[in-house]
Amino acid sequence: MSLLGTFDVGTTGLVAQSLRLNLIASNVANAETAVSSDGQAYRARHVVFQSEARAGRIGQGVKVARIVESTAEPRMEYRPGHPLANPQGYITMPNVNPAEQMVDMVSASRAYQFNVEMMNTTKQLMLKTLDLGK
Amino acid sequence: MGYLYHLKHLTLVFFVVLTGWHAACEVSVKFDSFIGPNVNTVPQFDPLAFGETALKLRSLRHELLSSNLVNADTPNYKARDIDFQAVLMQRLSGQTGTAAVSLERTHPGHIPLASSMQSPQQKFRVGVQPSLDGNTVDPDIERGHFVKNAFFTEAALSFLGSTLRTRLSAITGQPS
Repeated sequence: MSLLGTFDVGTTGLVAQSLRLNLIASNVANAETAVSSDGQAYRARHVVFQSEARAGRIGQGVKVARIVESTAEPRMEYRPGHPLANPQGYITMPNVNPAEQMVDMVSASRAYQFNVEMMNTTKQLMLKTLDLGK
Repeated sequence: MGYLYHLKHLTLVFFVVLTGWHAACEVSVKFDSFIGPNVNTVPQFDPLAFGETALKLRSLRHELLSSNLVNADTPNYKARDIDFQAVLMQRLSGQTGTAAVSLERTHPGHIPLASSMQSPQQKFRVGVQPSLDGNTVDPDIERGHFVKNAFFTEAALSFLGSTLRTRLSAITGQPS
């Protein structure tokens, strides 16, 4: 039954989008982290989505193929008194771009809402199907 | 003949609503091919079979459109759809005529299995404003199709339900 398959497709979307939101939260939270746990400045992380074909089904789900770190140049901030400053007086700040993160967040939350709405519609259709002939 | 006349029109309404036509000219063109050249003939398709086929295809399309929506942010994903009207006519006239999904054979000694899964031919939607990452899903268009498809699924359900109720009342002799 294809309607049930829609729930599977929707679930993959919810999982993928919530992981994306999670990474955005991590990026925003670490936007001012000069030193992360590995001793380097934090780098923005992004998800890479990939469609996922399922055997014998017409609909394709989505999955997070991998998580990549942004290759953008880190931001150099002139803070001479800072304990982590280099001899020139600069500290390395994360390459998180707040505007980019905000746009990404809006996109992720919209996609999540679409998925929820889609599953609600499917639920209603299935309930109607149960009432068939009554 | 009055009964047949009504039945014919009911089936036409059925067909129009389920296939989602709205242009009157299109209906009149298809009318002949659907009912047959002789207007006094009995409708070609049994309403039950028609409703069932339409419902199956509707739910198939529901899944396909939901996968488009889910993949709205997937790089290189192309939005897909089926030509509902063509596939419905194909199914009703008993042809499958589509690529069958079958098991892959990785060894020449494997026995080919006839697959029961027949999936209709999928087409790619032409993107209105394709994005740089090669994705052609336009969420607004997909949502429009999705909602419309859900609505027609409900219509199919209600028609099928009323056919069932009518038949039941004919069998039991009781008004339902």
